[in-house]
Amino acid sequence: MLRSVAKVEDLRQEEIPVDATTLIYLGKADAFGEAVRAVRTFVASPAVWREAVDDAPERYIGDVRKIRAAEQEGAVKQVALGDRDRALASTIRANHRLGQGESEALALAHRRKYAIVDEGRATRVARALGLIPYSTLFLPVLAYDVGELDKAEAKALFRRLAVVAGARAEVVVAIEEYLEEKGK
Amino acid sequence: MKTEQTNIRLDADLVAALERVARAEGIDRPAAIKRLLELSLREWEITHALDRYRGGEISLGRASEESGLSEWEVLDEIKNRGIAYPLTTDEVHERLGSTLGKAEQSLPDIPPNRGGVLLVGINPAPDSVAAGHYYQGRVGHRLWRRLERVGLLRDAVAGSEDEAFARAGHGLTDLVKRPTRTPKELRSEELEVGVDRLRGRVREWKPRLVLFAFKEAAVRCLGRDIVPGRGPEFEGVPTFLLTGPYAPSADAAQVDDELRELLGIGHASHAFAQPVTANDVASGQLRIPTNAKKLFPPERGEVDVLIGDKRVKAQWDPRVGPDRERSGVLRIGRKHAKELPVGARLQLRAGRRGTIYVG
Repeated sequence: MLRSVAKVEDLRQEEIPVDATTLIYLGKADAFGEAVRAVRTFVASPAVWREAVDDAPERYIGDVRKIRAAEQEGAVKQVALGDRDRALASTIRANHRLGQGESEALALAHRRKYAIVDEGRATRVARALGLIPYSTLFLPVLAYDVGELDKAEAKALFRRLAVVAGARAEVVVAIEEYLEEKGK
Repeated sequence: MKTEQTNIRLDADLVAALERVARAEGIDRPAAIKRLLELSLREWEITHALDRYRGGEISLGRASEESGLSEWEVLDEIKNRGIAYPLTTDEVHERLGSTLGKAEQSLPDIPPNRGGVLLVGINPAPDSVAAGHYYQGRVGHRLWRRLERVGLLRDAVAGSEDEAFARAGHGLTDLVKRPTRTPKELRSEELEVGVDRLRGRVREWKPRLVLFAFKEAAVRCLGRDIVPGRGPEFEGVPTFLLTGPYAPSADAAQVDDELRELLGIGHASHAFAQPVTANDVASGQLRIPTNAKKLFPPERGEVDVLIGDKRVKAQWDPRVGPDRERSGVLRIGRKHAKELPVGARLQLRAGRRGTIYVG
């Protein structure tokens, strides 16, 4: 009955599956260089890559190039799904009304421990699967907590991500207050 | 492409508007209708998918698939339509508390089955979180006993009543998941976000009834005027507020009866006598109104009555006349009647083996 709320941990050695939204936000905010200091690599399933890169309309080509560049630099890694992952993704998709990319991201995360998802429903499903989900907006906090970004860098990165994601003002205030207080 | 013919009658104004579109586009009227229909259907598909996303029915990825928009376009649409990034201050504080080394724990939501009752509290008490079960403080224990009396809880094991409640198909949640010693420690924005969260839960789970355990939560969701008993609908679902833990027992019993009636879970086992008068004391009797006669035998006779800790053999007269029915009379004797508080409406409760508990 009891649920422990996840501790934010050092993920610098972890390959973290992400959904397409994360890649899109990081591309729009031009933030791969800083965000990847919180994790080892962002892992993209075939559907996630398709949604974020291959199916992107022409007008987003500038931001899509940033995702491709991040892949070439090793910040993003495309990963194929095994049979078991594919079956699990299919079950998640059918049972929880998630999209294909989100389902594949959670299926890949199932073998690991963490996932980055920016979607309320996918976050709930991740928790139900016993995963520890993080939002893209937490990447500056993670990088800051392990000393990869200083306070000013973390705040600047967070602000850029919050703007492209359209975060609520009270959420922005709460995270910025945290970054401010922790530095004292 | 396979086609079908559909005949519809249109208002003259609409036909004139269609003609204007056809002229402007340089096409005939059927082609204009077809083009506008295609445009409207496209817009409808997008709006419908985004509404479903906003209502928590589907994820963002699924909204992209259903609307036919790319994820990039869905994200832009969401922003343009003022749908905020799905991260609440609740989650932020939950997470940031743990980054500070205060690994917080809370109780998970328990969704009800379709047709089950959703019991809503304000936020978990630390005692409950430590125990890993809902409502394990002093007030919480009283709540469980009460739900047992109402008939919503059966075969519960002390200390894990929430499991029996869930087995019966009912669900549990709180407005805010962060545990505090008192609800006063909660921030106003936490409660506001909690109301939004509850709306989503209710839309998703579709319970038969949203049952508010405490007034604070009901006020946040339903407004300041809410009083114990049946309340206005919340996201299309009936609501009910229980009386507070320290409400007079007569009021609590009356509200509990209303809840039983609403849920259709058995007949009331409580009722009230007429207010005690000086004449009642002098006559050594209690008058039993018609609606309370169900607790007594249908015929005259001797009844075991427990007044406080005193067991009394009382004489019961239902006074069912041929022409009109009057209040019944329970003769307990002057000696016992003298101890009754004049003016009080005493609670009557049917116990096992026909014993009536008074007061």
